[in-house]
Amino acid sequence: MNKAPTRDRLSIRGSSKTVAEFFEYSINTILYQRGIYPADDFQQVKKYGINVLVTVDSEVKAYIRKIMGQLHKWLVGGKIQKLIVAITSKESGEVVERWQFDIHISGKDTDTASKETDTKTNGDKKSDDQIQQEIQAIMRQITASVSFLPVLEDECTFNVLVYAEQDAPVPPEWADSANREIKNPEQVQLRSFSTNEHKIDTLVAYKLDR
Amino acid sequence: MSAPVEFAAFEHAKENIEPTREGRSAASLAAVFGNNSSDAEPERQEFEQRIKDSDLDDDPLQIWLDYINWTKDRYPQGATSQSNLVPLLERATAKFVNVPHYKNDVRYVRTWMTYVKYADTPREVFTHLASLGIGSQLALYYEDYASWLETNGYKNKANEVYQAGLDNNAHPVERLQRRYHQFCERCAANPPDPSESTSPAFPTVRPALSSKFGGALASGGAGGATEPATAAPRKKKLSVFVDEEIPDTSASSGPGYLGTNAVRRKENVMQATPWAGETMPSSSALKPAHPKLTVFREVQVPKSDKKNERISIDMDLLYDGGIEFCLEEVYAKSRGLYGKKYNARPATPKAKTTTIMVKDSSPTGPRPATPTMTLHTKGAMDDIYDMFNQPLGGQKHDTKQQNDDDNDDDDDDDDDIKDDSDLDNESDQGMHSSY
Amino acid sequence: MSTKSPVTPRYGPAFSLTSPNSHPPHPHHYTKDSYSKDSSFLNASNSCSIKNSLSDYSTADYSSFSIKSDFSKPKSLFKSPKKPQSVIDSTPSILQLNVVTNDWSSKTNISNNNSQLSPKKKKAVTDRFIPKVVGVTKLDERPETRDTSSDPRESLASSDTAVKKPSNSSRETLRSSHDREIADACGISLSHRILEFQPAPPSRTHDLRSVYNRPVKPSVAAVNRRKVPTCPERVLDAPGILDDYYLNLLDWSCGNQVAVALEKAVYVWNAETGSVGELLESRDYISSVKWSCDGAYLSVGLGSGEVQIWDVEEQTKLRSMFGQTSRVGVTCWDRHILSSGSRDGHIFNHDVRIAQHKVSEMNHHQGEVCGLDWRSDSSQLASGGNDNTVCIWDARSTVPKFTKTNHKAAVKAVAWCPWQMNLLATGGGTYDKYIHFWNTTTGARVNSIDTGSQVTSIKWSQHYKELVSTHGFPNNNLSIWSYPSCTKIVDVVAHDSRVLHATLSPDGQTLATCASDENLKFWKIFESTKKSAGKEGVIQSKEISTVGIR
Repeated sequence: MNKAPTRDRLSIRGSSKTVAEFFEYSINTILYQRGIYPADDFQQVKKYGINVLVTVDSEVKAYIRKIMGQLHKWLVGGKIQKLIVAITSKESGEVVERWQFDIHISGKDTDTASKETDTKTNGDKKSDDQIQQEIQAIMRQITASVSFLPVLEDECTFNVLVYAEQDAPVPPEWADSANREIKNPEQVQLRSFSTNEHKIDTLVAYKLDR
Repeated sequence: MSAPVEFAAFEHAKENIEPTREGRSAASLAAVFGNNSSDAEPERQEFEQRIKDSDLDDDPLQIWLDYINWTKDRYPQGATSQSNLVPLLERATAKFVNVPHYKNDVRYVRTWMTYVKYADTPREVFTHLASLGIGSQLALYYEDYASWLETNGYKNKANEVYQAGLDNNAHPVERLQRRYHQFCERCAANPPDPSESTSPAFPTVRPALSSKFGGALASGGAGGATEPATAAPRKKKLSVFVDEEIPDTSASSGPGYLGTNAVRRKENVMQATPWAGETMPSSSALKPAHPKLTVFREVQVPKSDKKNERISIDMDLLYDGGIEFCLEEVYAKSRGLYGKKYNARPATPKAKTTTIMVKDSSPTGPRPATPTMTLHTKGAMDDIYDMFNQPLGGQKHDTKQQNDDDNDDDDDDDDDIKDDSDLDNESDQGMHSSY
Repeated sequence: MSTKSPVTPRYGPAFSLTSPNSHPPHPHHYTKDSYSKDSSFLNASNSCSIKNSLSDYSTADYSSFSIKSDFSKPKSLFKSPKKPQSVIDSTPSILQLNVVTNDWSSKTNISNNNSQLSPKKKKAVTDRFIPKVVGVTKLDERPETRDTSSDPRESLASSDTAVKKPSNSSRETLRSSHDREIADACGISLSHRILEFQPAPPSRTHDLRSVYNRPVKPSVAAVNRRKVPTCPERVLDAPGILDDYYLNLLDWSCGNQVAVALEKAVYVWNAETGSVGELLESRDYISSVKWSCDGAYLSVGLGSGEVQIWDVEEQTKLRSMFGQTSRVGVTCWDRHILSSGSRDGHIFNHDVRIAQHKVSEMNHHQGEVCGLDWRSDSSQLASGGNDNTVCIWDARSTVPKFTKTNHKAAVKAVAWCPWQMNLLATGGGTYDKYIHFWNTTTGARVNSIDTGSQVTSIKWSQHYKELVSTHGFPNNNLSIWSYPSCTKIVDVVAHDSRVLHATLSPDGQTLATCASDENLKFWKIFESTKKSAGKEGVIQSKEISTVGIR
């Protein structure tokens, strides 16, 4: 992996933390919005300048914590390219909704360089405020996505997947899997946010129940 | 897979999207709320035409479904007078109400379930469907009926409905069972109100009234089918009121006809009236809370009544963003010089100009015969001043007046000391003052 | 020599690809056992001159040449257990060409410079039966291996000759193109692997129902209920009104005139005299109308961002104020100040008396400003936006004093309480449905009501300690609530579609509502019991009706 010589390790860690946090809050929000767990299991906390909902159920909390720990390690090492939250109907086993977060590392791939329109040029640091604003907008969009997503009638469960590099360290709880994509989905691109080291795109794919 | 649609393309209109259970196509939302949303009328006419031609189709229901889906996509706000969704649903449901092979067709029953949402009296619709046998083999009907009953506090009746569905082996049974179990769990948590009315969920029709509600006898089928398609034309003037077309009820009062919303409620609803002549006087004295403001009046540019006057310049350049610019500003803008701050000129005039200390105390003495000037004597200064005090035609005068009024070191900039730089200075000043 | 050397399985078993008319190689070549047997032969040798080039094959992908061929020989694939690999397992159609190593037990054919082989270092032995593998270099026995009978071999061989010691890149490209072929055939990607967190997530402990099945709220006990007519007093026609939540197209002046905007025209109806007239018609659609506090002027916001001020008595436009770059969906007067909120989130304050009208900007909203209301003592301004926030501004500042993010949907309904100066009510949209009450001195939320439908406007009553809220999705109703008990007094299903705009009469007794069903209805909901000169009686007799649907 080519590392730009001026890359600051501290900066990568900080940025990875921001991204991991974002993933954690996003997963919580998705679980709430899509009704995977009952609304009573969630409570509001202040984050990113808005109220976001996080689970208070200890099992779910622990589950997400474990995932987050590994995600953070992978992010620091730059080993994952995508994070997927797949929502499956318990009855039919079909994937009904798929949330996809693309992780681009600044300066790593040439094709992402052209997408770096958000970050300021030439090492201007992005302020925390700006990043917070961007994440706030994404959270709002996740909340507002209910305006077009179908209501999940059946009980659903969720799975977390990552697209990892071939040389990524794989802890025992993770194993190879299929990509769990939806056939002929409707796809909606949400806003992106970027830190100095990462750029995250969010996309949701779903099936219209027609 | 088609390209993803940007949420931001329609996020600005999120409050105008009616919630639906089956979700919406983001692509069509982006199309409707984007910048290039097309006129709906031609497509609507096309659908109407296809409906007219559909009578000989194998499956005429499909074209109606396509039309309904198109209406839902094109008008995310739901049932409004522009979308004409409810009349369309009424027509579609009424048209096939007596067709036996549609009675348990999922698509047809789904259409009824959509219509129920907008009906004034959902309960009547459900019972009417039961009496016609529509949906009796489909779990969908029982689920929707039971859930409406539950929402409105009729839990015992909801229970009845689920049981009826299970008894009839409504398809898909497993799903119906699941829903029923969930319902039972909810009931266990919130037991039904004992004072709930005990009227049956599926009222049995007394023989004497059978002619009114009727069985499945076909007759006078669905009078609404012939209703003309166009929505009430949009009007600008208030004074004209155009009544919405209502199907002729007399032709279709046969059994099996439920009627449209409009028909059923016509005795309860006031019709809109034109404005003119209507009054609603205020019961309290009308006293403005504040004295009348004086609003700044813009000077109106009188419209030119010269014939064929054409403006040949691009007015948008002059009135860029509502602010008026003069031609010089426009010119500067086009060159990218507008607003440019020029560095102050190196004050060469100041550097070159010498400060002349007026030595009042020094004796002036007789003027030398030769007209050589030495700058350090008062007499010399006087000579110089005299020379340059000749008025050269107005302009000089003004600047000199200004300068005379100054009693500070700005004498340096006097036009009395004539350097080349002074000329430049002055011309600059002259330019600036015209702005 | 008989010791079995623990051969690291880095190099797969060698096997030969032979042309159909050559003799088949020894079968033992295809088993692992045979491999190790063979390797024992090599133990004797110590070094290998081609070790380096062979070591280039240490990555997982080395073994991925695909040869579609008519070879009849069985193939074996050898996968390195250490390295995670793309799964190319046992697909019969794919032949895997591994680095040729010491597959020959017969010593005769070992070529010249292989006496130096060490156990681990194999030399690709050239032989006429073994096609030259690209990248295995330093073998100059090429001519022997050239066999023109089969195409793939030929291509390999010819690619050999081109390159004595192929550089990394060409080897890479050939390998990667083959990789890609395989990957395409299998439908997998080589640049990443997909990992799933295996443990199942916790299951739901209980299974109650979702958004769409809310239980209906029990209605208020009769003792609290004031008798309110549930039928409109009057219904007027509003054809062509735009169906957009974010606009504010209806207002009632203190002079008892009602202004309504119907797409591109504004009509003014004088409720005293009954006369109605078209005030203006514009090129662009109208997005907001608001009467000034003195009832003499009407501010008209347009889709282009222009705000016009009209003198209604003279029926003339006094001025056009520019500056906003997107549509002005809401305006609000505060004596001579007119605040305009636009789609890009900017709020401009204009002093209408002077030429340079813009006196300040209040920019904070990240979405369209759809609600705007000045406090009656002019000290604070409240704004609501499509970014789901409520901003409370002090009059002369440009940053909000409080920004409230409790609403989960757009906030269009914003209303200050007439009897308690610092009490503000705000209502949220489709997926929020709440009315929140705020103390604007401290910023605290003091009360909340879950209304059950998208809130489109809130109006406080002057005569009763009550407020009325109008709604859109899904109930299209209006509700009257008592404050501060927050109990519902009455619920009236008002229109066939969303009640988008509402305004109170100057005497505070009648609410006018307008919806996209093109009806403008008047509801006598806050009837005052105070008598005044005869008019009261006339009005009352019209509307009391307990049978109320619409």
